[in-house]
Amino acid sequence: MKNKIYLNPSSFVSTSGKPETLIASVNRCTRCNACVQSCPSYLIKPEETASPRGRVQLIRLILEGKVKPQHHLPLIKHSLQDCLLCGRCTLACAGNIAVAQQVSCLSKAVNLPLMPASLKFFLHLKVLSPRFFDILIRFIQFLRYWKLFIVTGIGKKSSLYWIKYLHQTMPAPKQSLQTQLRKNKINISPQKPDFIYLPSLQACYAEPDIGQKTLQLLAPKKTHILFHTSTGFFEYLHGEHTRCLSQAKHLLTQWEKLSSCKAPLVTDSWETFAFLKNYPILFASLSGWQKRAEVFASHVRFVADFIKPQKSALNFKTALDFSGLLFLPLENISFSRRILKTQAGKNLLECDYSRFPIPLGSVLFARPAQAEQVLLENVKDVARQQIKQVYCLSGWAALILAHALKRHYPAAQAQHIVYLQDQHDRI
Amino acid sequence: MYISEHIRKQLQKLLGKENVLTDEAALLLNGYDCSQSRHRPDLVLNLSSVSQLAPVIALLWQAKTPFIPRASATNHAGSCSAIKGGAVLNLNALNRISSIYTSKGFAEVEPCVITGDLQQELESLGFFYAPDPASEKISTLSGNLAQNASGARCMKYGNTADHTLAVHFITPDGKTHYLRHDQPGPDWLGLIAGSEGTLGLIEKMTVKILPLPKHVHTFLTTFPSLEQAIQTVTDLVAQGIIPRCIEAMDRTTTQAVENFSHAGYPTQAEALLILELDGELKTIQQQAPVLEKICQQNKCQTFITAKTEKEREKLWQGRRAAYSAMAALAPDVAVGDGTVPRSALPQALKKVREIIEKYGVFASLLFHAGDGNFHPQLVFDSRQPEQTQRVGKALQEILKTCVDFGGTISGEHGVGVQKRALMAYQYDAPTLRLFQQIKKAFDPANLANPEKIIPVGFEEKARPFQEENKEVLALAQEIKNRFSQKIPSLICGYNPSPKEAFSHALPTDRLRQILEIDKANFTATVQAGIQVNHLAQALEKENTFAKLPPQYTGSLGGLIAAKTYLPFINQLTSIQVILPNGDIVNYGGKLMKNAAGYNLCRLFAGSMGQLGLITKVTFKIYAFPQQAETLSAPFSVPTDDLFIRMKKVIDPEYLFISAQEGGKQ
Repeated sequence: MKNKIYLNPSSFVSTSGKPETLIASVNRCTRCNACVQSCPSYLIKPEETASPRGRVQLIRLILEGKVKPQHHLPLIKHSLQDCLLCGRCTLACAGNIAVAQQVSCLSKAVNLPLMPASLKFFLHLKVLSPRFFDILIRFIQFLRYWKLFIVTGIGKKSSLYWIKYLHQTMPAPKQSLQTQLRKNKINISPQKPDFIYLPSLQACYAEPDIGQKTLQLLAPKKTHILFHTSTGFFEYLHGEHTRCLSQAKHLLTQWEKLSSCKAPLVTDSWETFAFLKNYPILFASLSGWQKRAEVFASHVRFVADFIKPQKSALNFKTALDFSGLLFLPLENISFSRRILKTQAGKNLLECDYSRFPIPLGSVLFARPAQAEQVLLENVKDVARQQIKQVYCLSGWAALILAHALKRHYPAAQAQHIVYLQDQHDRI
Repeated sequence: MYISEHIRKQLQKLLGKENVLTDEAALLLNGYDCSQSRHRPDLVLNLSSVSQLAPVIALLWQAKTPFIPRASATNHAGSCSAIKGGAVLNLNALNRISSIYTSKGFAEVEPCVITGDLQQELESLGFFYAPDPASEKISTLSGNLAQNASGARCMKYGNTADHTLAVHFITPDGKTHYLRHDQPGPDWLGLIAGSEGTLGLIEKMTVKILPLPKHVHTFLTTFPSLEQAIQTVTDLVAQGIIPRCIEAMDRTTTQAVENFSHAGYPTQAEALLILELDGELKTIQQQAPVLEKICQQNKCQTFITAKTEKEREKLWQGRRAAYSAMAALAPDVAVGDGTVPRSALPQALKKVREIIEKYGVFASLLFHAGDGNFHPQLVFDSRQPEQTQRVGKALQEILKTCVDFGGTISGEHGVGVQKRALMAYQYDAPTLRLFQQIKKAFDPANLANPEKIIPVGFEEKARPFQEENKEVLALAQEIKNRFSQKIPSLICGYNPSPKEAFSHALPTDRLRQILEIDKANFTATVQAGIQVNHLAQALEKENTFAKLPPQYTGSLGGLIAAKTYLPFINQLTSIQVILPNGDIVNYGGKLMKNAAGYNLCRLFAGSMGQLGLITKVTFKIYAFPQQAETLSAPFSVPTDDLFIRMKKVIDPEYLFISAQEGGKQ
């Protein structure tokens, strides 16, 4: 006898900040299908079970008791795992139904990790024992340096997809960000910081240049920084709600304690930014935390806010790839777009979200197996429009897109938005 | 319905194991569409290439398993729910645009290309595909054809059937047919348009593409009453100005939309019109002042012109947000779709508002003023059974009102399951029986999308038969007598030789009346025995014109039945036919759009008098002379498989014979 799976109809989801129960959210779906053509997974696999409408209806059927999840686990797992949690369906929906959040509710109920087990292990390691994680990464880098780490066997496993990219894109191992900063004698004092830098995983280990670049953008003005703090984002992703909340609480208290609620929090990862901005929703059910979370969220800034746009610096076709995961606060996209528009002028090809069918960063984390197909689509898009430079809002997105471009369309480059500053330097 | 293990295994062999779904959850997920109807199929088949279609259908035919083609499932009529169970064919993967020939003006596509995708692809080449249903970003081309969708631009450019040049069509027995409008025999392509997959499946399509108009100007105007708004449209057509679309909203809708989207619409006016002129700048510049003058003559309150893309976008913003505005108000939105003759629109809409108020529901009223098609959007909460019931009743009453005003229960959304019962309110028993026969001819085993369109047990419920014209009744009686005595008939118009050569000739020259020339709707209703050149003269006297061949001395019925002048076939909006058994069949009205039932105008056009005797037709007329085209060479009686099947069902005794056969006796 299989264990009964219970999906709580009063689980909490939210749409643009408005709280709602799961059942209310599901019932708002009129099955109009407006979401379907915006869904990356549906475009790859045009089946009802892989469409946002199908997922919402599946949850409705489960809530109505017409489908017993324990009897249909393979189908449910397929349907959920295909979801990239990119939130584009929510944007397409007239009622802004939060499909991604509904999907994560069901994922939690069926105990389905949103990430592959081994990646989850790596990220867990980062949270539980950052030191050991550091050692492990260095060990991989060491192996690669001596050409002992060849991406076959284990590296080919979808769960280690990101390491594959790490291996292929970086010519030689790089020092971690912390070492680099120490060498450059940048003060990373935790005492009364002027701002708090929350680097993304890639800025810490894969591409420390991103981190350094970000700090360079900030450093001329501010001197005291703090970084390397877990935000609770990854725990949120793989459904560890309690741990996610405790990490988030820890960050919030630390920020309050260190900066007396004044220092801005800067991050270079689009996903982390979106997550931090949504802290108030995370804390909505906890009395007393709500207001503090709101104050916190109002101080969160994306690195693009610190880039000074210069007129007509980009005289070639440029595009912006905005990768979002779960949430899409649009004001930030429009800010990055404004910078690019000022710099590229007519050369900026209208970076409509629909033109880039898939947010890259999310693909890598959530569905590595599909990343190749998805990437190819993006590469084709770049090639078709003869874009020379694509700017991404997340380091992972830049990393993997750059790699794919190098292989299929070397005329174009992909970079993280922080490298826009380089354009200034060149001129 | 039980599907044997053997069939399932064969299907798995054909499609691959992972593409034959039997998981209960997957079945339930393929059992709904945008309407309220939900039915669980027994099998879901995911097709990945066009070549799989025919073998799969042949296999299902062998196994006597019903099948339901399913593309985007965005229809509001329950057209793709599996009432009798069976297999749902998920065709969404067949979405490739095979080729686009801009020089020849057509594109070849697989059935499930998203209409908007084709539009986008063509736009970069400087072309466009004229039908633009509001759901074009999510609906598919074959789905549009199956429902004969049209959209806002229909007034000028026509519906999907008019823009489909050819299809590869698979009948339920798995045989593929290549269908074009200009083939000898009935216009099968016109017939399958709007058939909702009940006659078979579309395998490939060739669609017409047109060069993008260089300039588009949009106008927004408001009127103190609905009557004045509709009068404006009539005046425009009378002046020979045909806007590419005329979208309209009533006051309640404008207010709801304005509250939601803040598009800056004036909220105090009773009617709001958005008109668009397209084409060469010179023509637009000539037409725009006339348009403004006509609006002012009809006491318009505001008149806003948008010339740039940005300004146009602003005017359209509110109209586009209309569905969203409603969807944001309640969990469910029921979208109705009724059409009435344009001149009846103000009274019909008034009645609709009364009904909406009577049932205490909130609804918006959007309409395509050019073709009399309107869409009430009723918001409700389906979890409250009482409210759902009220909305259902209100919708039914609204559609009945449409029929009472000489309209139809569906202009572009189709009938499906949801409006099936109302078909009996619109059509009389002989017409519904003919629909059933058409279905039987194509699909004798009732496997393709069963239980749609034709109401159950219609014989008692159907609308009582109405025909008062004595000549038609006498002719029908004559045919009935011949039917009982099994005497064959040869229908003849003005061609004297068969009458003399054949003793059982059935002359139609008594039917030569012009019944009505309606200048408000720009339609003419005439008896089909009239000589074409006489008809053209009579129309000219009234300062109206039709797309008729010049100096044609034959009868109008003959012109239609022989299908020698294709441009006229598109102009037919209604037809009355006496069948070989003496039943009188009525289809259509003074309507620009009709998606209720099979398009009988297209069945009898090109039937060479073998399927029925055309007695009365309604067709579109214009205020200005129409360009004449050349007549095509006359066809002989078709001998294709579909025609023989249709003949066997409609005329099993083989009583309506051709001139060649008549001559032999």
